[in-house]
Amino acid sequence: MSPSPLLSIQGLSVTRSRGRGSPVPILQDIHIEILRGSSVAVVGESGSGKSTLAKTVLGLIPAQAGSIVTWASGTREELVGRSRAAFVPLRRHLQMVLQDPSASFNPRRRLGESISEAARALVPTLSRAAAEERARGLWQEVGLEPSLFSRYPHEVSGGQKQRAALARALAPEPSLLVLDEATSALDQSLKAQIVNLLLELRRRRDLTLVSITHDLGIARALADRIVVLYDGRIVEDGPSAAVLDRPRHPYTAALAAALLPPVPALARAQLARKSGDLKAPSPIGCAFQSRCAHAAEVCRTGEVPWLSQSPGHHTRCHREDWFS
Amino acid sequence: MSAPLLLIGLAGLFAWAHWRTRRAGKNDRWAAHARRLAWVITTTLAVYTASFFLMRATPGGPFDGDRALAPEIEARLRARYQLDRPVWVQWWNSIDALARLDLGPSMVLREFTVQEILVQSLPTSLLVGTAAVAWMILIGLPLGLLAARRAGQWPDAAASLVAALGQSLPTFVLAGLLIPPLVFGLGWLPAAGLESPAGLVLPSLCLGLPYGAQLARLLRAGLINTLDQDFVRTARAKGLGEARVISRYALRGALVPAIAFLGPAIAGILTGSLVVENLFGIPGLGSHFVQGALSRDYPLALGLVTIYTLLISISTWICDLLLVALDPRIELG
Amino acid sequence: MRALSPRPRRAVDLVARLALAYLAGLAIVAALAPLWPLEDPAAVKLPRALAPPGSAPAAAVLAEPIPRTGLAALRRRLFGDWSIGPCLGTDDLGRCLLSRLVFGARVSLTVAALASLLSLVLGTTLGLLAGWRGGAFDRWTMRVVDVISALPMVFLVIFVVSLLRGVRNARPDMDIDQISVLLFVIALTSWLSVARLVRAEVASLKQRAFIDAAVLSGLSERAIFLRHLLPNLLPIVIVALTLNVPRIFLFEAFLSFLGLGVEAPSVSWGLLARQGYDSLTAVHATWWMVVFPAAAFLLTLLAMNFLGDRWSERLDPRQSSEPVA
Repeated sequence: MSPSPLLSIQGLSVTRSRGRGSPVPILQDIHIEILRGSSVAVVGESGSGKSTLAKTVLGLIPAQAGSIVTWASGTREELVGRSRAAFVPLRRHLQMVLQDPSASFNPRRRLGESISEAARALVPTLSRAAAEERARGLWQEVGLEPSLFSRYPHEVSGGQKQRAALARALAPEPSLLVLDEATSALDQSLKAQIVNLLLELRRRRDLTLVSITHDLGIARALADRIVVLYDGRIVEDGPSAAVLDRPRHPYTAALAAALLPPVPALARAQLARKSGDLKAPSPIGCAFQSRCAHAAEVCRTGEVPWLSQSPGHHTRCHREDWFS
Repeated sequence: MSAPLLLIGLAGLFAWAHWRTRRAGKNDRWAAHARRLAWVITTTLAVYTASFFLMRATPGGPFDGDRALAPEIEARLRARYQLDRPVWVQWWNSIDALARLDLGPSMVLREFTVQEILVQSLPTSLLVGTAAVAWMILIGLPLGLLAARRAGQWPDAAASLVAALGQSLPTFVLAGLLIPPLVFGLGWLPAAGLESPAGLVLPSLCLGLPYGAQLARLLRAGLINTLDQDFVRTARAKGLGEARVISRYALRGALVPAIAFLGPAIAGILTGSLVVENLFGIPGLGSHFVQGALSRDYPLALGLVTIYTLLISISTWICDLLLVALDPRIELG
Repeated sequence: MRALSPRPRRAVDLVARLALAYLAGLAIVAALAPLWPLEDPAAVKLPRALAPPGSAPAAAVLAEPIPRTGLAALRRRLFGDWSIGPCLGTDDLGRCLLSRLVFGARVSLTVAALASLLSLVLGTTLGLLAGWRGGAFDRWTMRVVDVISALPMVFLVIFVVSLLRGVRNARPDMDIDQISVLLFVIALTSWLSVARLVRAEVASLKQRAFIDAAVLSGLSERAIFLRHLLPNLLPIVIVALTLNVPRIFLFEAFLSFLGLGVEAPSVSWGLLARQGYDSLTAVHATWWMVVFPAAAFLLTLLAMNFLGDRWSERLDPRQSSEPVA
């Protein structure tokens, strides 16, 4: 059986307008193909647009151009341009765990209620009792004490909230689960626990995972493919082992070696432009040039080419041979 | 023809501010000032216009008083106050006069124009108001400093108690409590009038004390906050004396909320001056305004509402300027 | 802000409880004013004018005709003709000060409570709509709020009250109820701060992750609004109320004190404070007419301010146990 695509992102662009200023691009020309049953990690620094990507896929942020197609419901469905109401039927198949577990639960609602609420809203055939039963089952499946089911969010720990958030996302039994920095609010030992739980859930429920993270260790542990984002563009895309062990983009290499150069004035201006403070001109050529150890004259020109390094491994770099 | 000039000037001010913002960016100071001035004028005109039409729309003028006037006298009075013209004409003429700061004749104090009353009473009110602000600072600053320096100890508790009491004693209650001992009991201060400087003490104290209490609370909270911050600790670690640490470093940060409170406090003191001037028989704006309202002297009340609008807008403007000078992170709105 | 100091929490809570008990007690006493064995607050008895506390004899007779129903009838059945008497002294017309304070509290608290409620409803509705819908509606509503709050409201209210008196003078047939007019005018000037607070809270709640989570859970906009937004809005609404009540209470007193608010034969605390002040001369030391209304103001405002502070403090994000994202 050849793997079939579950989600296909083509030429996606997202801009954000702040006040009266001209809109600022957050994501530009993103192409990602996600196969059924695979696990993809999207990595990058903060401000690279990875959270925006997740929220756009889930319809929380509108896209300005491009298309996102999913086959999760059995038929081909276009996601871009959908109204919030039209998105609801698809939420049964596409789910997401938000970044901060402490903030993602209504402080005035019991955790269990939030989970059964999701099950009932997305699976209309479930009765109230069946929804609660499913919620309790998931509660155990993510490894939570049954006695915590009717606690309020502030009464449980961060790790427990993260598990509860996972249970809520799994409540409608989705086929694709997007995890936005699912572990970054947790300490090291809890991180490992959650990663193990995710791997187990993936196997048991035949889940397709998309993990948004800045932590390459998590990416390596969870994903079989890694997409690297820099300043709203994909700079490298390939199998996990290849990307992490033989990075072909200077940015990925620096990220992998944790030797990322500091943000110089020009890049700071770019960040400021994003937050709407400054009208810095978009640099011509490669966005990474000002921080790149291998930057050359060619990096300041034109469109950056897509290079194929090996089957399924691509980079966006002017300098094909910097690593040799 | 002052009204058209005023309106054209106002539109010009708005336009200039707009143009300047486009040229010099959002944070341009001059554009902010121009826009602010334009809004002060707009607000004043709007208040005047709304009050004017409200006044004209309600039945019952100041002439249907206790006894009926002879028809010809009433007709003459109506002509003098232009009540026989269409209301739009009246409004336009009054705006025209307003642009020349002419607020027309008073209706009850018939010998005077509103402008004359204003010229006579504004200095008195400003004197009382300034004295009240002085009391506010004189009481609020030491009390706040004391409470913050000795936070958690008995001076703090005592100062907080005084502050809470002061905040819960409105001016008019305070006056009633202070007059019997100070005026009738000890005879230190006169009961009314401003003939001697001693006459200023009690009215301004009654006005300033409640705001002094609030100032003390704000300063205390602000100081406790800044005394705990790194730059203050650094100053201490450098071996600077406590007095210098507070005056040079901590107070600057703590003053921001206190200055921010100055605007509302001045508006509050202006409001309180209505009571105080009325109680102590001080011939200021406030007593004239209350008298005007009670005796339904509409032109006087209208003129003074307009003047108060102007006073309050300008004083908040000045307070904002102070705030920007103190804390460069705050933008002029 | 007070929470910054190391003050024993238990003591603070005790004071808060006392303040709440005092206000509740005052409200009950005021609401049931006709039930208590008090004299008629409007009954003039010139022979005992300006009697110091406890010195004057109680007046036995109640208002005629004898009421058959309601609190006054119940009071008659319970206490007959007996009354406590002017134990806090009498005013210049020989009226019982205690009774006037109780009946005055009735008017003052009713105006404060109803005007606060009215401004709360108005402010919350507009703040909610502006914050939830956002966009141009939000911008324009808030601009209007800004413009209105730049106006010197107190002075405008005095002007309007003065106009209304003119209307009443000229057209006695219109039967304008001074107290209801006062209530509406005060409410119309005090909703702005409520609208601002509520709007800011809604706008920030809308950004919170749990609203996104509710969208992801497939809830309709209605369900998110009702189940996730409104319950979280309650604390800020209570804060708005506790901040507004003392302000409105004072405003009414201020107007009545100037002679522009509640008028005789109704009584309010502001009016009593004015009477006390007017009775002061070098000859008569009528301290009771000043001190008792002043004490009533002081206690009530202290209680209201303290409760307001406590509520705002409880909402202070620096004190919440949750980390701020």
